[in-house]
Parts: sequence; structure tokens; C-alpha cells
Amino acid sequence: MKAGESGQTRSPATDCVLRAENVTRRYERGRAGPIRARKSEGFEAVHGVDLSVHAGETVGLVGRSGSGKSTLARLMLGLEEPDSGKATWRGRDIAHLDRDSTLAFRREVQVVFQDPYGSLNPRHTVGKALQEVISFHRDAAGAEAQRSVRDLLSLVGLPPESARSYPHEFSGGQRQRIAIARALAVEPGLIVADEPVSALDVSVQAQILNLLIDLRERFDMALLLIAHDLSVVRHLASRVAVMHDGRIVEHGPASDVLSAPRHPATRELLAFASTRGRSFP
Amino acid sequence: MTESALLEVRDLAVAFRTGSGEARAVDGISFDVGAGESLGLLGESGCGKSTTALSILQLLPRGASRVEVGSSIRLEGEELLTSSPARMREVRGGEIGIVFQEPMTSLNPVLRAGDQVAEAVRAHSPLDGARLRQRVESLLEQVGLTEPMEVARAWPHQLSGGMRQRVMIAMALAGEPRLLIADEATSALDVTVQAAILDLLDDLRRERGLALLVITHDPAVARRVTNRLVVMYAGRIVEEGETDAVLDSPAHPYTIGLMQSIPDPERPGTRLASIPGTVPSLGDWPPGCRFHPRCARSQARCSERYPPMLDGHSTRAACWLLDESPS
Ligand SMILES: Nc1ncnc2c1ncn2[C@@H]1O[C@H](COP(=O)(O)OP(=O)(O)OP(=O)(O)O)[C@@H](O)[C@H]1O
Ligand SMILES: Nc1ncnc2c1ncn2[C@@H]1O[C@H](COP(=O)(O)OP(=O)(O)OP(=O)(O)O)[C@@H](O)[C@H]1O
Ligand SMILES: [Mg+2]
Ligand SMILES: [Mg+2]
Repeated sequence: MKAGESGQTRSPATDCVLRAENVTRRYERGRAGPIRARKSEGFEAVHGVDLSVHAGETVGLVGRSGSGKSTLARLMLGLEEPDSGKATWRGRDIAHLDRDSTLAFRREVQVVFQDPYGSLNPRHTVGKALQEVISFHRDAAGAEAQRSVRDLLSLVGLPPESARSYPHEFSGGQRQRIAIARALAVEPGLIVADEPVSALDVSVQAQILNLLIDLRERFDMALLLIAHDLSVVRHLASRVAVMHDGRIVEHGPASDVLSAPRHPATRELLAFASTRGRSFP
Repeated sequence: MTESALLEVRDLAVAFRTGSGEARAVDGISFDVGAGESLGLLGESGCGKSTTALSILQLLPRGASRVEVGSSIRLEGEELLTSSPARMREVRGGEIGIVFQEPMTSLNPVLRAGDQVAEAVRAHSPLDGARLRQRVESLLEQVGLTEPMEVARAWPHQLSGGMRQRVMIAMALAGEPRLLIADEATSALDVTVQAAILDLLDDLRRERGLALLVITHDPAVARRVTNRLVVMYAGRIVEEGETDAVLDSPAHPYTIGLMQSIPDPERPGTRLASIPGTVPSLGDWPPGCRFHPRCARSQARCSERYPPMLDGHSTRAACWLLDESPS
């Protein structure tokens, strides 16, 4: 077992759905620009990170803005390749999956992006977008697919008529829920969710969090949850990893990390948590 | 009539044209924001908060939306709804700055972040060269970006979610507005940065008299940065009052339900209370009080007539339960 994974509660290797092994991602930035011409070296947005997510568990990933959370998520999803280290899905290197495995991977692991608007096709109605996912991965078509679309929308608290509308016709929080519905369309084994409830009022947020808890219990669904709101992380996550400047600086059971933080970065996050904690003195 | 507020919104109604006809997303709301005051706008996802914000600056999608006759939006007495397009361009980013809800869609993907901030500065002041660069740098620094020049050189896709949101805030402050409309402006920020931004806004309010219209779904944000709070449900205002009063002793069953949905840190992993049912879809509002089908305390008259704003214990709410007179 790696040092960084001491907080792990279940360990059989087969149980591990997704894992980052010592991944590093370097970005070039600061080429000559109109503002000021200066060339700077690249920097490492993610540096030597190990993280794994097991079936049925929820791992919370927290850290300051710019600490590398979304970048790590993209690496683990195979949307970007690490400069060193590797990301594996059920023990296999994501960068070298054959076609069938890629399909199975894309089906089992779903994603809710931080920016829902950018991830929805503006020219497709929501119904069409959901139906496409369903028929691609589930072999369902016609009336059956339509029924699933309605069920999905109601799961995330949207009326069935929403299926006829285009993404731009929704509010921010409604779009965020459409992105969640799309991730749920294939009954995924793992959802990587980047700020999935940040645009929701607390009542709709409660509905979505309950839904995620249900899915975890019913289907052993796993969740890699990136969220700024520590009350949300505390509510869902069994394990928490704290990122700081591209590294995981603290990692362990949620109850330990969030109640007895050891690293200054974690303490800093917790010190301000009362501003977001939504619990009132 | 008393001295006019900085911003006066009266009977604002906005309809969207959709596949199945026209439907009102905002249906007759009124509120004021005084100079140096901070008003919060809280409410269910889809209740019309962003629509309200966009209509103040006439940024609603043309052709797909209509502000109804009888609506009025005044800035220091000047009617904005009938202002010329040229005047509105001045107002936007001049007297009124806005931070949009989705920073990625509102930043131009093919312009470097710094150039976008510079553009916002130059729209309202003639700075150039080194002075312009300094101004851009100090704006980015003000919103807590510790490496402002690095950020200035970056393309939007090279920035993290929270960095983009802060670039948007810097742009909104660039014209030294008198009113800042912040639509979920800190929802993508970690708690430390969020606290710093809220403090910055509060300082600007105290020192420069910057008025704030803060749209948020986070009661803790409302508490930290607003004096008064308006709660919306299905296109209408259902409760208003001093922020602490609305959050601590709400009178409207919707607001009460909202407060009960907050996760309890003592009971992780348990099912959360949430308001049963879902918001009716646009234009499909039930008769009478729009919340009554989801309200445990609804009575006969709740489904018949829309309640007026009534005085509650410490707030005002549109709820028949507050009506002392026999129905
Ligand atoms: N495509 C890219 N090119 C260059 N730099 C990038 C790119 N994507 C991210 N970065 C940089 O990498 C760092 C980490 O970004 P990342 O988006 O992973 O942060 P984050 O932890 O998700 O932050 P937030 O909470 O604000 O979303 C930031 O400094 C960001 O500017
Ligand atoms: N361009 C549009 N065409 C049709 N309907 C729209 C359009 N824009 C918004 N709507 C609808 O108007 C209603 C109000 O949307 P608005 O964006 O104002 O909500 P909001 O209160 O800001 O919600 P959120 O908290 O989720 O951001 C929603 O039901 C939405 O679906
Ligand atoms: Mg991010
Ligand atoms: Mg909105």
C-alpha cells in the first residue's frame, strides 16, 4: 500500500475502479502576449499524485482554487495524458485501452464537468442528448428510451417537458442537473463529479445528494467528488484527499481529515468553512 | 414619495418564447437597492433570479424574450427600459457591473484574460500603455489572484474554474461601478478565496458606497455580505426582510423548507430533508399561491387567491398563514 493511501478502507485490487499512480502533468504557460512579453517555464499543475476510487465509495477531493483538482480529474478520466505516471481503470492503463475496453470504460465511468454549459451540445434538445447516450450504451430505442428520458429528468427534479428544450433555455442550476441526468443515463459504476451541486439551492441540492446516496446504496456506485463546499463533502465522502499546489498533502477517512486536520492547507480550508457551512449558530 | 433609491425595480415581468408559446419567468416583482446597500436574492433553481439580473442590463436574449409593458427599472430615477442602446452600453460596465453565473460562457475564448480585463477598463477610462497594464494587474490582484501577470497572459481555457470566476469579478469592477450585480459570483471558489472576495465587496461598499445585488443560493454568503434579503419562488417574491431575520426566523413555508434542507454536520450520510415535489414548469403555475401544492400547511384559500405581502413576526411574506382576518 502506498503511503498516500493510508486512509483507504477497502483494498482488494479488483475492487479498485479508478486509480492515479504517481501522475504528473506539466503545462506551458506565459508565452509572449500582448499584456507583457515574458517567457516563463512550464509548471506542474499536478505533481506525483496517487489516488484511487473503489467500488461503492465516495472520495472527496478538496483544495484551494487552482490547486489542480480538475486537472487530476481529467487525467483520471483519460481526457489528458500525464507527463509521467499513469491512470488505470480496473488495473489497466487508460492510455492503452483497446476499442472494446475504451467503450466499456466510457460507459462505466461518467463525468459531470465543472462547467455544464460547455459540455452540452447547444444544437440538441435535452431529450435528444439524453436519448443518444441511452441508445448508444444501453441498446434501448424508441418508446423505451423516451421513458428513460422522462425518468431521468424527474430524478433530478425537472419536469418531463424539459426534454423538448435546448440547453440555453435553462437556468444555471437546471443545466447542472441536466449534466447529472446525462451521467446517470447509463447506470455508471463511477461518477467523477466536479462541483456538481455548486449552482443549486439547498433544497434541490438536498434532493441531488439524496439521489447520489441512493445510487451508492442500490448499485454500489462510486463517486469522486470535487467540491468547495465542505458540508457537502462531509455529508457524502468516506475518504477525503486535500490538494495543495498540485500535490495531495493530506488523505484519510473523512471524519479524521475534516475534524482533526494535520496539514496547514486543510486547516485553512476548515477555518473558513463556517462561511460556507450553511449551518447557523 | 421618499428619496429614490439607486435602483428601483417595479412590477418587473419577463416572458420567454418557447416551443409551446410564451411563459413568464418573472411575474411582477419589485425591489429597491439603495446606494451603499447590499440586497440579496435567494430562491429555488429556475425561479427567475438570473432573468431579473439580465433584464436590468437588457442582456436577455433578443427575440426569445420580452419585458412586459408596465415593468419599470430605474437607475437614480432614469428609466432604463426605454433608454437608447447607446446609453445602455454606457450603463453596462459603467454605472452597473455584472458578474455572470457561468464564467466560461461569458469569457471570450479567443482573447487572453488580461486583454479582456483591459477592454473592460478602457470602455470607461482612457488609460493606455503602462498605466493600463498596472490597472489590469491591480484589479487581478484585488480579486486574490496572486500571480496577476501569469493570469493576464493566459487564455480562458488555461485557467481553473475559480480563476475564471475571479477574472469576471475583476472585469465587473473595472469600470468602478456604483452597483455590482453578482450572480453566484463566488459559487466556484474555495472557502478561503470566497471569504476574501466577500470581504473585498463589503469594503468597497463601505468605502466607496458600492451598492450590491447579490444573487446566491448559499444562505451563508447572503448572511456575510447582505443587509436585506429577498426570497423568490416561481417568478415571484415570497419573502423579504433583514437578512438575519429571513434566515433565522423565516415566515414563508418555502423559506422554512429551504433552511431545513441544509446538511447537518452532525449526521453525515443520512438522507436530507428536501421540500417535497418539484417546481412547476414555466407558465404552468398553479392558481393561487404557487407554492401551495408543495406546502404542508396549505388551506383552501391558498389555491384560490395569490396572497399579498403580509407582515410576519420579523419579515414580510406572501403567505395566507400570516393573515389575521377571517378568510
Ligand atoms: N490547459 C491548461 N493550460 C495551462 N494551464 C492550465 C491548463 N489547465 C489548468 N491549468 C492551470 O493548472 C492549475 C490547476 O488548475 P485546475 O483547473 O486543475 O484547478 P482546480 O483545483 O480545479 O481549481 P478550481 O477550484 O478553481 O476549479 C491552474 O494554475 C491553472 O491555471
Ligand atoms: N432563453 C430562455 N428561453 C426559455 N426559457 C428560459 C430561457 N432562459 C431562462 N428560461 C427559463 O426561465 C426560468 C428562470 O430562469 P433563470 O435563469 O432566471 O433562473 P434562476 O433563478 O437564475 O435559476 P438558477 O438558480 O438555477 O440559476 C427557468 O425556468 C428557465 O428554464
Ligand atoms: Mg476546477
Ligand atoms: Mg441563475
